[in-house]
Amino acid sequence: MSTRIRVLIAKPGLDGHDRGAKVLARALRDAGMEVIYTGIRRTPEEIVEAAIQEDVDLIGLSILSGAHKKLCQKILNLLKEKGADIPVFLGGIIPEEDIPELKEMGIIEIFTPGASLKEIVEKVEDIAMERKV
Amino acid sequence: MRWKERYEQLLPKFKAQNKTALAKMISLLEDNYLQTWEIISRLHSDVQPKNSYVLGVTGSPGVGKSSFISRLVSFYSNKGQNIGIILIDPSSPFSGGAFLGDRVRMFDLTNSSNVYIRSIASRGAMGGVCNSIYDIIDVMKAFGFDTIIIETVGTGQSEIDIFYACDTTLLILSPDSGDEIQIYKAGIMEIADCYIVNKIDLPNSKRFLMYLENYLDSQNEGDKKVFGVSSIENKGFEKVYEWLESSRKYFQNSNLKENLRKKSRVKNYLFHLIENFLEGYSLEDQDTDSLKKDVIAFICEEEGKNGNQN
Repeated sequence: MSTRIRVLIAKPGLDGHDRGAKVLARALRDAGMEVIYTGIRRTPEEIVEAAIQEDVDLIGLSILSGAHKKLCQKILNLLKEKGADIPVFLGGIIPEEDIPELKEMGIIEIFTPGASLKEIVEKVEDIAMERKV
Repeated sequence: MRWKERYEQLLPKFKAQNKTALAKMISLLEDNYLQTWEIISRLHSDVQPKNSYVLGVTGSPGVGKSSFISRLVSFYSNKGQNIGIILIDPSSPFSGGAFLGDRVRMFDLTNSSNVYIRSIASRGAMGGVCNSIYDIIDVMKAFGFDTIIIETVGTGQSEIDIFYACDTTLLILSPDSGDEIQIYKAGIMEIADCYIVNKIDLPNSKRFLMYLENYLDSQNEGDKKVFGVSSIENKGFEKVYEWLESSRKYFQNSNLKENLRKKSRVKNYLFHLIENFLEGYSLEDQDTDSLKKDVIAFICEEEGKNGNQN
């Protein structure tokens, strides 16, 4: 069985600032992962459908718009509806006080400004490999 | 989980046209390359493959392959055809990772129920496709797509493996692809059944189209086609679609490529086996003589295992 990790990096919602998402996608690539990049302003439906078609191990969402709670809930609901057991992690401008609620919702990991790329890559690797065993 | 159990688990959903099962079946092949022929022969006995039309779309980086495919597929989709799309991007020679970004230009198609898009990393293959390309096509044929479209890695002049894998090859060019001399070069210019000059909204496009027509006339290759399109302005696609549909049967029933394809597939498989084996060796440490002996012993052993299977 291959240990190649496939990750979808997506930006849901209306904000078009994707530098962070692209930097992370490149770091994951440099760590040996296959990263499917969606580009900006994707709907939850598009993201979930792409993740299923691409058979990814993880979905990474980048959200700076403030709509993280609503978008994350929608994406998690759609994944459940479609029977897709794919963990979702989140990065972006996320207020500390929202983190418990997002984790409760089912977001597996949340990275806020200041998180190092090394830390994110290691976490992503850990989550994916744990599920591949 | 062993591949056989996984395969048995996926098969009923795969037969029921479930896209999740299709996606996982492709991963199963990619991740179990040494067992590929066994998996494919089992799939062929379990599901009758469709005689899908396989289109290869190739060309240099930035000529607009993804945008072209996106526009073309909407014609197929509107006619009610089921389309499978394979998008190949390069893997890193250093980390083995890949940034697969072609889907960005096709998101309009993501939610079409009759379109399936899969991004694939080249995983070390150097011919412009990936080592599993024949197997992925087989899986998609078994799934029942009417047309399968493959977008190669952004290729250079000698990356021509797509020619063997598909029924019809479309070479996408841009009016700023170079002067007339580039058109006469061997390699990628020779493999096309059809030349698509994208970006005809750019200046110089008429001159470039004329160079191409002159080239084909001088080579007596009148059956090869040239089309000018503009993905940005959505112009010229209907003619390409009509030509493809009118020549679909000719290309599908042409046996010209059959033997070439089989040879290329075996070669591909052997290369990948060796590559897989070599992955465990460090470039710095290995003593070349013992490496050579190990490789020969490995090939002989694998040949013994797989030699009688197809």
